Amino acid sequence: MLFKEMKEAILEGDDEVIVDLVEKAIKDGVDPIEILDKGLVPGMDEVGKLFKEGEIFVPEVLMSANVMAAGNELLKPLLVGGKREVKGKIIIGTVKGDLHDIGKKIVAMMLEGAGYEVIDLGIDVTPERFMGALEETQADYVGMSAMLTTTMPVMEEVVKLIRGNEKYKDVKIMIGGAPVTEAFAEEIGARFSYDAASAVDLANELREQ
Amino acid sequence: MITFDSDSSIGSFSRWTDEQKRRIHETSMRVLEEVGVKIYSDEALVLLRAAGAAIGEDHLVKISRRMVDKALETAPSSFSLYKGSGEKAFDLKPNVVTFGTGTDMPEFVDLYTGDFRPGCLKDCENAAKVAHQCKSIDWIAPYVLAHDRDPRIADIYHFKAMRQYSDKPNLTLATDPYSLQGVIDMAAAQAGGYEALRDKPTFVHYAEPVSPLSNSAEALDKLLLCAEYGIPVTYTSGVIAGATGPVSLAGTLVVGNAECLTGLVVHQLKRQGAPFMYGCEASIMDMKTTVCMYGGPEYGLMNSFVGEMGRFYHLPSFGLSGATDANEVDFQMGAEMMYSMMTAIYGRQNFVHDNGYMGIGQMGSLQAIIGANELLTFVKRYAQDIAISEESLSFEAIMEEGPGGSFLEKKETFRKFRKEYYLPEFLNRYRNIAWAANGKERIADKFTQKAKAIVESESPEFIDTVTKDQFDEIIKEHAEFYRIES
Repeated sequence: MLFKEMKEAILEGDDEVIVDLVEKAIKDGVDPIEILDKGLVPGMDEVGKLFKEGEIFVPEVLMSANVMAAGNELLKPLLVGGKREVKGKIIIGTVKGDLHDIGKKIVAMMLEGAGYEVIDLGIDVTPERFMGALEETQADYVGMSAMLTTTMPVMEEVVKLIRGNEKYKDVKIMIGGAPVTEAFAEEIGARFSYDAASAVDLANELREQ
Repeated sequence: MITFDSDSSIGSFSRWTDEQKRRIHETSMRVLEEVGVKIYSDEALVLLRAAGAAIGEDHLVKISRRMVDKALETAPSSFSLYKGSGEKAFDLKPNVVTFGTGTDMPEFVDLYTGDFRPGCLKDCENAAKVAHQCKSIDWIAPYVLAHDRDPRIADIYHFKAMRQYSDKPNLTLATDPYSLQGVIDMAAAQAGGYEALRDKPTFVHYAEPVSPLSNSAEALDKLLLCAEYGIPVTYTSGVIAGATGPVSLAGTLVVGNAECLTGLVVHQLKRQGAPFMYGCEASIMDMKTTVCMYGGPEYGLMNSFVGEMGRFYHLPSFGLSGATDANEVDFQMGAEMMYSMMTAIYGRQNFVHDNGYMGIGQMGSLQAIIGANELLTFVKRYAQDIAISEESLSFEAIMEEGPGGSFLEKKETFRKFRKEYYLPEFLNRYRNIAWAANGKERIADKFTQKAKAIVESESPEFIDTVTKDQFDEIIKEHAEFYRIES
């Protein structure tokens, strides 16, 4: 019953309700992993399904993701040492010389909603900062965005730096942005997705490999 | 339905001056007084003679200005329409624009084969099911002719189909007064009697003169029947410029206007204050093919005029939009539908029919209704305007976000985007790669899928078994009258 209400709260985008419900479940001694797997995750799965079917839209997905995060926040301290892990760690940013933020932000939020840990480096990110963040976080993925044809070459620089270092050979590199194409991605040795939803699909696909 | 504030720019928009409208009116008056009209109904002739009209040879009647003025004075300037359930649907009054489907098309595009074929009752039922699901279609007309029923009783089958699968109000047609009587009897059975139906009419009837300036017994007697039962009716001319009307659009409007006023006079003589809707469905003849156009710029132009003329006369008006001369879902269909919807927005006719009409008024398809609904939703957003208020100006939110901020994940966005934005069901919003990845779906195919999904699923029904039995009894009665099988 509580799980069904949690799913509802996620679909409705109601963060106050989810906090109440998760707190109650914890107090009742429900296993935090069970709360996550039976309450929060099914809610977010339904959100993803409705989004694919065109029934709900991006602001609603984001609101649900926020609600999911609010629930997660309460569970986090209890999950330490538990077997629950995030799907993967992603650093993401808009490359140097480019101040366009919103597209990359949407991708970040959608990935987060899908269960990834996302570290958003923001805009105008230099190749050095990408490398520094990679070193620091040991992320599994690097995501880069460019809105301008003049800043696209920065992506290639970053790819070269990552691939030039043996310890990052398994790092998955994803790129996107209006002028970016599949052919360009192939040329520089990255993977391309055309929108936020397909970025999630791509991240999942790369995770399998 | 769209409601405009009377002081908004569209709500107060006029393309033509009162002086221009008066000149059309004055010329129509001269036509009625000096040229005259043919009246083939005995009862109408009796009423007109008693009211002082000059009755000449061979059914020629000259109607005086005084008679027209009197009728304009007694006809109500607004009235309400109700759903089959009896719940109020909308008011027909200035600045309210409602949309409905087209009427009685002979042929139909088969949903499964794509071939043209004569329409049947099942098509009429399916059209009602589809139109019921279309949130921007406010009322329903008998979309396609049931050729699998005897034409003398087909109208009442159409009416049953519409009432069975939707509770939206209707526009009805009838081959003759007896057929209309059947429709009235059915509506009264559902409403709980003739008085109840008169108080809360659930449909508008559509009768039509024969241009130029001839009025059949059937058409006039239907008008008289509507007046008797208090059923709202429009007497809308289908005058065709260059053929049944003068080549000039103004001259054609003079003829169509004179025809509508003829109907108004007869109607008000029968029962003063009975609800009447102004209309003139004027088009042009295509000078290459001789067909009467339903698309094209002239039709929409003259329809805008009709909305203005209705307000000039203080009568609700009958309009047209969402019709196309295209024979398939294509560029022409989208263009002609959208254009004519915009002319309905600016003309502000109150009861706008023919949404989903195609193939020069010859042919219907479920896909055309779905397409028309999509575009109506689109233009309704345009009509809704940019709301300017302290809240909508959003200074606080702009302050909060500041340079480089994002409004996407704000609660306001979540709460308001559905109301603020048109959210297409079918128009493409995918960028090329995404569209290609989704299989390069064609919009016509998407309409077909949607239509199939509706007709293949269980449809809600809106009449109970008692009412259904009463409807069937009336159909049986009409069949027995003609000694045919029902």
